[in-house]
Amino acid sequence: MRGRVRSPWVLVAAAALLWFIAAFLIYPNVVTLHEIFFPGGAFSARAFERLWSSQRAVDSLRNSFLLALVLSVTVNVVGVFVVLVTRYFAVRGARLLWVGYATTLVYGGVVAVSGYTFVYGEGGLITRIVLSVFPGADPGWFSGMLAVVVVMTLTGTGHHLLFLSAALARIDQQTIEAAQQLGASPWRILRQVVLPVLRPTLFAVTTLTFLGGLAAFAAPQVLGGREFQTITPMILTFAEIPSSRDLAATLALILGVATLVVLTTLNRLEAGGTYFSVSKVPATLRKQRITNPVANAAVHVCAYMLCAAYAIPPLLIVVFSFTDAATISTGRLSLDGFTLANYQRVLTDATAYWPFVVSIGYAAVTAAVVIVMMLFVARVLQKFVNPVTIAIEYLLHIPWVLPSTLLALGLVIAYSAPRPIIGGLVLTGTVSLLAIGYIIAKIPFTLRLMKAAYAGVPDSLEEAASILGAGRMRTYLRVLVPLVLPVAAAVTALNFTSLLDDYDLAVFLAHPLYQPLGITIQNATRNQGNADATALTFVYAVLLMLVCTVAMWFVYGRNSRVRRSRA
Amino acid sequence: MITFDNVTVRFGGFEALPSFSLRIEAGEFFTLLGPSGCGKTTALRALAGFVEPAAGDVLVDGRTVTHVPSGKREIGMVFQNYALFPSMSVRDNIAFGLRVRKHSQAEVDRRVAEIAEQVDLSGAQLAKGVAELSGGQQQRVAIARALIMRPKVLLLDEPLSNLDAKLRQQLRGQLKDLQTRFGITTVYVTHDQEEALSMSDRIAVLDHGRIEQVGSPEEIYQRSATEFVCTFIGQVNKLSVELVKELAARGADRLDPGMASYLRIEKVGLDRSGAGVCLPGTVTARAFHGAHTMYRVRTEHDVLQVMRSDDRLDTGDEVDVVIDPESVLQYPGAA
Repeated sequence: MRGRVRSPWVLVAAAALLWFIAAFLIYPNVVTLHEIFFPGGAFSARAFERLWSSQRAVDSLRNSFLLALVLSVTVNVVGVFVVLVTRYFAVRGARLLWVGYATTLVYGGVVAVSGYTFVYGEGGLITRIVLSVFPGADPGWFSGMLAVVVVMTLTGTGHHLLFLSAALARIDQQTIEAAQQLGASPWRILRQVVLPVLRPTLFAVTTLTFLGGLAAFAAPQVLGGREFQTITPMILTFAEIPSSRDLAATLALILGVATLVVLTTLNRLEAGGTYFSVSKVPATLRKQRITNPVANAAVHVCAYMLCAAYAIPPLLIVVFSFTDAATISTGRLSLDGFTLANYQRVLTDATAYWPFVVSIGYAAVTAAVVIVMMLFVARVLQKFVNPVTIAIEYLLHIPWVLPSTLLALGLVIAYSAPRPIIGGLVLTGTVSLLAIGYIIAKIPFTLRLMKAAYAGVPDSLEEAASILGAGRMRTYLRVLVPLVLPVAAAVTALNFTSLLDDYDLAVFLAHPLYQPLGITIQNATRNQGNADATALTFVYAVLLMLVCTVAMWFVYGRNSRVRRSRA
Repeated sequence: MITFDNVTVRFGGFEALPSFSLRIEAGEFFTLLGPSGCGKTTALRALAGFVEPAAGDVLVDGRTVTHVPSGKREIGMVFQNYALFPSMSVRDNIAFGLRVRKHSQAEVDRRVAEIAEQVDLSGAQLAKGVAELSGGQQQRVAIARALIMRPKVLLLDEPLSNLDAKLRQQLRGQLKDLQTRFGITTVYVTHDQEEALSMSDRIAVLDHGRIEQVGSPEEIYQRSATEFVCTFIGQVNKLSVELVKELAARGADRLDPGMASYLRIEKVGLDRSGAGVCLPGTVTARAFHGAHTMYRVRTEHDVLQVMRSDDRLDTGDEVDVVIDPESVLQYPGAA
């Protein structure tokens, strides 16, 4: 430690890190709190009084909590079902089903909202079919809370597919066989042997789902309509009116406090509920047959219907991305309607490809900056545990416990005037503010995974390099970094793809001339009458799905192939 | 060659090595032996430079190295899990230290080839990744990586603990051969008494950070200095006060029934051919171990474990138990 502290490079890096934390993680939130409680320099609770007197604001608060609660149930029901039918029960065509359910991994956020609106929304394909059969039906049936819950449920099961599937695969087959041998029914085994072991993972994904529902943005904004407004779109509405910024900040603060309360409560509830396998030689889980023929048929029907609900929107987006505006408007497919013009336009027309270039640029730069920062920071935090590094680690997790809306609003409010902490610059309205927002948002995830990667490297490797005379920098670059590089590459890929269609931060922080894809897609989705804009949105969506598929293969598929070949 | 001069190592409030002093001679194969948590690895790591003593000094070849960085102590080390760099080939692992010291490529190639030959690694193996090698080959790579730096001292931290019994047996011999061939002062850490006895020139037995005894394997085994060493090394029978009294009554005047008394299991005779006090006994259990057989024999006062090279006796057989009082080891403490 003494050697590190003496190094001028480490001192400069540490000073830069502390400045970054102070300027972008602490200061904006302090300014936001000041804006709420000291609007004219003196303490005032006026923002709260105004908020409680606004029926829309109170409704949005109630709706957000209701949405979070409902999603915690629906996402878990659907998520557990899709994992069980693809990984636990012997269901015919399980691989095909998995592909259908996994579309949610490459197709989410504003892209998914756009897809569901295109299929089920007013003027959507399915709605038109329904109206042709039942002319009296309400064309705007797919809106309000129902539509928001459906879309967010189907797009919210990605965590189940990734984490619950992995947890299920770790269950020891012998525990199931032991229960069978003791006479337990498949249902009892599922309830009393399998699900209890999955409880920690279910808890974690429920927490993520609840927080996602609380801070939901794109889906309620597009599909919620006037009767189902939630907090985050309301924050944006208030933030756009200068005289209501304090209301926006107050709502964001309530969202932040609610997030902290939920995280703390769930963490306390979770404590003590983890089960570890005590098997000396665990056996690989084998799929369980559903012996009751009626139950088996019902599970198959439900599984395939759900798969259709997952897969139809992205499939139709892919198909209609190859059609002209007239076909998109009417929804009637014919051979004449197919064209490559939409792709040609996105690839050659500067106005069309500009949002894509902006998104790629922001995602690439911020993913690279974050990983370079965290490669260094995670190592220091993992290696040197003391009160200072523990405090730094907590501070770097601020973006995880505060909703992105609050962070974005903090940055906008704090840096709309010259501030000495950043050399008197004004950042609001510049291209750099969104990049800073993205970097901040990706720090906790990147830090956690890189720290875990470093923790997996035995100390003896470092000691071996040290006893052979290697200095700290050489040991770090030649021995440690190569070992954590696969994780770093995977994290970079995940950060990159998750930022490509970001809307939540972009809508607050983006420069008017450098609007990323998320905003373009959302605008086009809200303006469904423009078939040309919809066609471009479909091309963007297909390209995003392609990039995400490549990234997911890079992160998961490639590694699993290596694991299989090693086995 | 190596001196620990009142070295004290603390981890927080816990004193892992309290005033540890030891001298190891040049060219020795010296073993630090003891149960888990006795401080043997801490002593080794203090010598390697991975833990800094709170007090005292470590000297190598007359030079105080207490505050010298590990890479500048001219010490080579083979780790328990070998600590081979998984991102590098076998050749790059072995060459790592030379490259750190900026030796020319020609020099690196020459010395890698030389050491590879000495530890029986082929050219094809040098090109492989370390994960492609067997446990024994990995161990040779780890030794080559340490020895290529021509260190004054080689440290071995339980390098056989992760291997199966047959490979351990085989590699013990190879390790000792290499040490003899290079003539390098070697400090070996193990909790396996058989390994220590078969490989070492001298052994230090440690318990709770303190040295219980230093000596040759024969001294340690046959003339264990303390009750802990006696019970930790080999297998012993603890003799009852009544049995020791009877031995004393039958001419073994030197035995004090008030002391803790032990008898190694191979020192108990089961026929009248040996010299000593003869007692009647009955075989109550028998376990065949191949090269030897273990018997449990009940006498009037005690049940004794007996190891014999023959297997002619069976459960229920009446035998003459012969104890040579000179073989009884006695220590102060509760009998």
